[in-house]
Amino acid sequence: MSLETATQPLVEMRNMSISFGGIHAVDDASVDLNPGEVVGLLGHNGAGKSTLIKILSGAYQRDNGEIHIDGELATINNPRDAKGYGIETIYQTLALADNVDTAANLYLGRELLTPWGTLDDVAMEAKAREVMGRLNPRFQRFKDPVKALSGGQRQSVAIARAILFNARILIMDEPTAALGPEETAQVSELILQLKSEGIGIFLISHDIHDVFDLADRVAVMKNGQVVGTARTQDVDKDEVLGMIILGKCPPGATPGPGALSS
Amino acid sequence: MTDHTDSQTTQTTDTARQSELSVVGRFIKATELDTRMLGMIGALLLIWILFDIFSGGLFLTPRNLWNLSVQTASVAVMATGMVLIIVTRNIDLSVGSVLGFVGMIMAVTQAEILPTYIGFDNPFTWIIALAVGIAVGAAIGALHGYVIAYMGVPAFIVTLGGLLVWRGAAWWVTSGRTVAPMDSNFRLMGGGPAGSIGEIASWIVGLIACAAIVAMIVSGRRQRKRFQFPLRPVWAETFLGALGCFLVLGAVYIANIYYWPIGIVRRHIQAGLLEGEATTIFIGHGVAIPVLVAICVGIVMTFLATRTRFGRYVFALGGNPEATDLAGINTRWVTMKIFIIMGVLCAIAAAISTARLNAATNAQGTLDELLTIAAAVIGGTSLAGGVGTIAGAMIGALVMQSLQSGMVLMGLDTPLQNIVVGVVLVIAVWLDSLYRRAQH
Amino acid sequence: MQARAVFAAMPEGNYAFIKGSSADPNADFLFSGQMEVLKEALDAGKVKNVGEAYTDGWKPENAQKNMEQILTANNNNIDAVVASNDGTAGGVVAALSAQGLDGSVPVSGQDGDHAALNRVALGTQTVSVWKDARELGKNAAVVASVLADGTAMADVPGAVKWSGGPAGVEMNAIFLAPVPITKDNLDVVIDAGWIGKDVVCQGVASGTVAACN
Repeated sequence: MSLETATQPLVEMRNMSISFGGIHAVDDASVDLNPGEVVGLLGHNGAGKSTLIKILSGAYQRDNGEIHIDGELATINNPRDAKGYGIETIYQTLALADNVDTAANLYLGRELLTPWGTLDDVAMEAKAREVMGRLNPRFQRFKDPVKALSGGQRQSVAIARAILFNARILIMDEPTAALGPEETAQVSELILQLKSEGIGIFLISHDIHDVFDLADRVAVMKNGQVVGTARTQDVDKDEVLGMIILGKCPPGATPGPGALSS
Repeated sequence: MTDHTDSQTTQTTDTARQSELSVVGRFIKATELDTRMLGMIGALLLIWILFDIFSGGLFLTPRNLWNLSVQTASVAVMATGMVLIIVTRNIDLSVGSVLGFVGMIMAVTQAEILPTYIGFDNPFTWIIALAVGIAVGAAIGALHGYVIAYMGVPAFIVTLGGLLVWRGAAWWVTSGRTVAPMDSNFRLMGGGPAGSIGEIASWIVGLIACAAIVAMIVSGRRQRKRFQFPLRPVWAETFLGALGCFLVLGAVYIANIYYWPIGIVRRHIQAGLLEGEATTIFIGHGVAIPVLVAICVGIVMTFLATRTRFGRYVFALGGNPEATDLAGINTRWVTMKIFIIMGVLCAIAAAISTARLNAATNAQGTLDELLTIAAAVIGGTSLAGGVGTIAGAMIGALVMQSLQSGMVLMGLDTPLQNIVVGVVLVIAVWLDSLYRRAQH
Repeated sequence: MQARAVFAAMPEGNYAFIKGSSADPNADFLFSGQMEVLKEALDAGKVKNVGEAYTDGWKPENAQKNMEQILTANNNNIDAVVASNDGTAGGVVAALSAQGLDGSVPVSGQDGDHAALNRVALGTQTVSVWKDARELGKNAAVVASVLADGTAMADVPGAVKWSGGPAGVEMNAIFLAPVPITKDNLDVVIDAGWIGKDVVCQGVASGTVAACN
């Protein structure tokens, strides 16, 4: 998949700001995402990357800024609105309802119903088996509440939920934090597959090694501001590290408002 | 470290137990029976048998069991709603007061307001009074729910306020005066010989229930077949169906062999409604209307909790409120709906209680909130949220009422009853936590 | 006084006692008073105490449940019920009516509650002991004004020494006479303006109660 920057960006977040009790968690940040592109959003813990992305997923409401989807101004005031635009999110906390089973979590908020308006648990379980079979073929514990599952299994439930509904924009917040090497490789494979299907992916991490090889571009945040964005082919890991730690923008990157003025 | 060794020992004992009890284990696995529920039913039966022995065979009589079912009805109705409230990590301390207030409103409606327009004992009086009560209950629930969900005041505080407000409001309706008597049709909701559906109707209800049990098992099987899921063995399905039908018909039989008291029969003879010698006429009560109401409420609430989106959201909300919100569910509206349902259930409980007493009094329902919460908790509802069943709470209510009624039969007075009920509550929750720990 | 009226109606047989709340000392005063009246008959074996129960919170619905259990335990062989107030008496009558016993078993109460006076007229409750609240209020006001004039407590007109409280401390008290209201003197409460005739006589067959004619 080539990077046709000429096409219209899938998502454009322009001049986003949000503050909590006087602290500017996100300050005038702008990022964009094209179809079939993986953008790594990097920064230290507390740099504002999770907050920025929660605005896009509807969990937080911005103070300022505009979100454009397919070039049109979008209204996202809550998670329902975001899902309406095909934005799916895998949160760092996974955001699973621990006391209900896998199928119930996958369909939470979008349950399949029988013609009588009741829950069609059997159909949901059938679909859950199909999706989970693709992600995690050994997974069999469909009757257990998800709190009884292992970290990796829970992670795959969260991922399965995000891809179940034909997402166009996928947000993954530290998707491999709880996983072992084998499962991490599986997730990387999945990301490449989704990318090839034309889905735009925001990959959030505080660890550059997790994302550098997968991402087409990186955007680095520091203290709530965007330090800069760069195509991964134009920069190397050390330069990106310099952006994360010092806020220093290398020549291959486009500087943002948070860049250290040299 | 200790955790590790613990789990290891339980694992070894588990395997040992598994091979030992493989017959029972396989049986429970095949029938997918809820072992927790089985334990509760076992405890209930044990209590019943002990009381029967200590009361000299008085407890397990059709008469006492029938009375017990009627005495439980009002709290059981409210306990079904309390389950949903506790599952979502809320609490409702106001149900007793709301019952008192709504009961008073219904009583005044039928005994003082309606008679001036449509006369005494109009056939529509009861339904109007009930509708007014349910509307008022729903409105009170909506108010509680709105303040809790949209204004962010903790449920404990809102309903503690409600406890005081509605008890005071109940006094205000009549300045503390008891309102009686009730409309004769309305009184049928309270039970008694007239407020029971009789032998034939009871058998019909029982047979319909059996048909429903069989239909549910068959349709469940067909559903699972549709997606080629593993099925329960046929013998297990047959066993479950037979057990369900046996319990239903057994209950109907017991209700039917509790005959009308001779005093009532004599009165009917005097009034010319019956003929013959009072001592030779045996008319079974059949299932009492308040019990039928409570069972219907239980079925509807179970359906809501397990078969609808609303119920799914209630449990998800209790398991992880933040996740439920992020899944795009309007959690505030769900919370408000739960409290509206609770208000409606309080109104139904108030109707049963008022009809049964044939009066509405200012103190009605005092401390019922504690009985209701205790019933839900004994029935396995976790105060940590996310866990609970409607049927469990109803059995919990039955356990509580069995303890109280049984001790009065034995001649033990209330101070001792309260001690026993309190101790049982704590032990029940302790056993439950042990059971849950063993499960994981 | 409650026990006396019931005793007059049913001088021997099985008595059940529905006491007040166990948390309220008045409940025990009332019960010991009832036992005092019946002591002789109890000792002589004419009256038998076959069941007694406290009513938590004076709640009628608790009284009803307890009465149902006492009836079950005695297979309906109850000849009289002494209930400590009108609310609990209401619960007792509701329990009795489910067994077709209301009206044939004497039941006592107190307070002169409207619903209870209606039951007295209907014959399902034997007596309701009524304290005229106006008398109480009038006396309290008189006492207050006399005391305000500087009169010593013991010199207040009508005051007597009383030391029957739980601690046995001697106090000055004025005793007002409570009136047991039965079917025969219902006109007392009606004439006093405590309750309207239509309320008392609701559902009463004409000609059965003098006060309702």
